[in-house]
Amino acid sequence: MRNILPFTARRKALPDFETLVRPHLNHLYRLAYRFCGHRQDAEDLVQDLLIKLYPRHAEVARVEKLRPWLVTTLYRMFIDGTRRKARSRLELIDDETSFYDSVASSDDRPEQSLAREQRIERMQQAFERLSDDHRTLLTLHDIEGYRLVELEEMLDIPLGTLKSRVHRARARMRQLLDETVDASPGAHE
Amino acid sequence: MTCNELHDLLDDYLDGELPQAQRTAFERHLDGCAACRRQLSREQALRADLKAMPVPAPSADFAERVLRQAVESNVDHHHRHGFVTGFGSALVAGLALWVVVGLFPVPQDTAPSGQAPLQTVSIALNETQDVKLVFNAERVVLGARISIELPDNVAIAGYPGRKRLEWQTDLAKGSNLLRLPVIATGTDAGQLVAHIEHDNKVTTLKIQLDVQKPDLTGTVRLPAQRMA
Repeated sequence: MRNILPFTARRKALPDFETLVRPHLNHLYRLAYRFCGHRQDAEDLVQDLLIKLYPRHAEVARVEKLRPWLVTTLYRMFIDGTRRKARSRLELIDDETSFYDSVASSDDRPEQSLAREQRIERMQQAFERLSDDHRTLLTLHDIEGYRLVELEEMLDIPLGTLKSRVHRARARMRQLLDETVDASPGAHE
Repeated sequence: MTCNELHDLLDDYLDGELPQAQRTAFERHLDGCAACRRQLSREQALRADLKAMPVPAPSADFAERVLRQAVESNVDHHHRHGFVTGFGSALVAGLALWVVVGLFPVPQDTAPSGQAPLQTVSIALNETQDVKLVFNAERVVLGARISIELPDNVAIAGYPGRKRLEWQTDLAKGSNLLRLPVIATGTDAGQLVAHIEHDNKVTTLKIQLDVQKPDLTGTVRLPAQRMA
């Protein structure tokens, strides 16, 4: 919808809702995509967030650090099941070949960029198979760089609990990656 | 430091959270342990690859669409319910006061002079609130002239002393939002009148403003349905 009144900055009214949230939309979308694994679901999650927050414009305008607050709200909406997809459970296949050991040998071959693409694709497949909790924590901490002390405050989870959950998320990620070695083309050439 | 102790500290080391003394011991152990160096490399590679996973760009109109939908969904919500009850000063300050939908060009079912039925909005005394008028245009309108006339006890924030604002603008096809940051300085009721003129046709909107003291609870009455 177009805003058609050319008001100036002299007004003392609350900052426009769009002015408040627009600078954060791309970041929220990135997080939502990591959480959901699907572009449309990610856009819908951000959409739902804005629909929820629009009536709370005054509250949003008073938040001191808006980005972490928005991230926390997005995270809670996702975890509360707003945009959860059903995920199938995967049985762990016992395989002693490490994902990174196999990729290390494939990087020696001339087709290095192809090998990297395949590695990233397997990463994505494994990432999507993580639980919602593991995937969101790795997104926030390992990928987007939120420190654990920041996440402790944002998510209201004790630091020790956060550390162990992130640690388990990485361990699970490694397990899932190691499983993909068997199925990947050329892994054992 | 043993290998097991190093493995326990690996995450903190990579997060940059290790105190200096432990960091020194950690790195000293690494210098002499190829197995731990390989373990560190794997952890670093995992994090690098996590960050390297691409994120597809959102759809081209993503930002515009989600912002517009946030507004329109809440307009639809208020119209379905017809009213919002209960306000204190903080709530009123954040309440989206959606008022009337003006139609341009002049709809068939309005008076010959192009006047829409009178709408009533309650606003709080001495608090700036956004009163939002949504004009639905059946087509793009270029160079429409909008004028706003204010009652004596009401001002538009940023335009002190002005009782009339007038400007020219284009209207997009569909919904056009006119956001008026009004502030009531007295409790006398009065009418805000909006004219929108194009091609010698005028649509007039009259909004009755009832001014409430901020510590009273009451009802913000919104129109029961939008004009089609």
